Amino acid sequence: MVSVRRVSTEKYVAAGFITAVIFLLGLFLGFVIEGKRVNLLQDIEDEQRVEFASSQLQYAYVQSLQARESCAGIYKVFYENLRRLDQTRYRLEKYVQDSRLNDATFELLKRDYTLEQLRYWMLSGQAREVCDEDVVRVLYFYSTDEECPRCGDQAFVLNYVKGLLQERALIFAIDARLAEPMVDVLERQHNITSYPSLVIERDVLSGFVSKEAILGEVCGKYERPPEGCAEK
Amino acid sequence: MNLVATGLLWFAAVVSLYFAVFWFLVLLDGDRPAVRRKWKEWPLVTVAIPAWNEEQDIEGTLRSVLALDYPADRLEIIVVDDGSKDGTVVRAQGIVSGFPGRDVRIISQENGGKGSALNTALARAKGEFFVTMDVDSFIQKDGLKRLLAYFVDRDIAAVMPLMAVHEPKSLLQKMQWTEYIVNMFYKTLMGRLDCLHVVPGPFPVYRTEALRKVGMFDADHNLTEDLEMAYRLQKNQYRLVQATDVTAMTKSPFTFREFYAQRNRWFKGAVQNTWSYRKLLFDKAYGDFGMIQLPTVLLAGVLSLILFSQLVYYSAKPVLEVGYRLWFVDFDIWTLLRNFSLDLHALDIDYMAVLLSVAMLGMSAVILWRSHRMMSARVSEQGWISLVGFLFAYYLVLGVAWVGVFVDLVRGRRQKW
Repeated sequence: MVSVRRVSTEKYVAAGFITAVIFLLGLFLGFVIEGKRVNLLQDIEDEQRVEFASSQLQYAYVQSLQARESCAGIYKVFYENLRRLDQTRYRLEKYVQDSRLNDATFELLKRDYTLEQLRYWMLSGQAREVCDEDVVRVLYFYSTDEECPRCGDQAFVLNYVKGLLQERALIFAIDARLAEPMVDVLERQHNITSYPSLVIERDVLSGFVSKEAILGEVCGKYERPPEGCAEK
Repeated sequence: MNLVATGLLWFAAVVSLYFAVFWFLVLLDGDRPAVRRKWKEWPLVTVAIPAWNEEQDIEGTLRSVLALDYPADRLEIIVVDDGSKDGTVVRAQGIVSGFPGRDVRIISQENGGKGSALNTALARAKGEFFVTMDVDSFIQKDGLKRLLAYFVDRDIAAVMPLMAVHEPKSLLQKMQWTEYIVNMFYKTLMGRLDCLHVVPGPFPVYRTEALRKVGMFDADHNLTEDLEMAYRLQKNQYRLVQATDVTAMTKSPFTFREFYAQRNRWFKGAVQNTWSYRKLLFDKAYGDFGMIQLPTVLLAGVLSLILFSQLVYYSAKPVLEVGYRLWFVDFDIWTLLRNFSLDLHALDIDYMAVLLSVAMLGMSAVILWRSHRMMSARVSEQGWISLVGFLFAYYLVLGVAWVGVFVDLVRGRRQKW
């Protein structure tokens, strides 16, 4: 029988060390990637700020010179910028979830993106006046899964409505948790106290709203309802 | 839920990586120099074949043992019919009659389980060495001589052959073929640390004296009497040796139902026996067996359950969510797709998960290559489909068996062998 059994202590320690190194390497890589993500978002933000300024100037130009023949082209670019902005917002949300180090930076970026969205929201009002764009604007206030279990369902339905009405519906998603005074101003103005909440132009709908109800509300606001309204 | 799920996933990832790295280090450390015993005179060996309703398979197994390249006068064969209700005995008698002069006995007893049948044989065994042989297995001709050559020290209580799946046909059998090869490779690594935890049924050679000293096989319907015997031998500070040049072929379950029943029994037996021997856990007196092997057996189930539940949770949740939400839009998928755009960026990738996966897959690839080389087999021998299935789906299938074990244990359900 074996008198003294062998214990591979050195291998236990070495395995622990290597495991820790792999994880630390992963963490380090994560931090590097996070820094790159911040840079990426800042770059896109800079680009989008220029795009916004361009759109703003274009509408000002049309307004001052009454050059309405340019409206269609300007709105196309405007809508494309807005779509990209929303994609970046979605990406930002995901990066915030994964964030380990740059919470404050991401929070600041999120505020920046929200303000950018609200600028577009306001500019879209100008687009309607200047170019007579027949669009309906929707502000969508959402929160965390814990605070707002139905926000995921609402976002899904809004995405569907967007697919149906395309560029004729402009949906701006606003994170209600954001410590941004402008968001508070909007919430107070529209008396938003629960989530999800939708502000369709000036009408407020609180709680989960079905696609039929959204389409009913949105389509009633068009002068020339788009094809998608026939779906309701 | 997400926080708990993420925490469990990280726990499983860290522990899995730790064990993978540990065994990788054992692999890199190299093997001990091979020492073989040259017998001047071959010892008397008893081969015990417990059989319960094995009419279909007894012939192949019995013929395989009778065909062993070993002096006939040094080989005693005992077939123990464990209360069969079919023609097992008649079939065995028919085969034996074709080998006059061979020392083959057929003993019938009331059904008492495999442990009881082995004890019946052990009580009558005259051999210095005692071999157990499952009736779904075959051994190579020179297997016994090769295995006996490993008995170089008195403290070696058992030497076991490698195992391989006999003629795999179904996809499940082909995946088991790969699993056995990888498992055998791990067993050779365990052997290097003297921490083997199971002596499988097909053709292990025991030192009869050691078996009698530790008190025969557990006849109380132990689900894995072979594992229990290995634990007992380890507890009594005997050594178990994994041979690397002998292979026993065994038939593996063909259908999922058979597979589930087998693995449920194995896993449950492993949990129950490890719990019975829990005093050995983390006890340095039992070397690496107590420090790493027993915790691994317990953790294997826990990790399997965690990974299985995580996979189900993270796969099913989005599918169910989308399915449920589609109901709100009257399942108008086309409109949703019109608004869909693929927006991917290299920075969206979860690099931590990628790093862990690459580390694990890299080590798995090396293990896969080395294990197949050990068994002189090609990695793609059973086809790429079964290999990919083994790598990415097989552990999910094992997870189902572990879930079954967990449910049975929680419900206190008893299981017969």
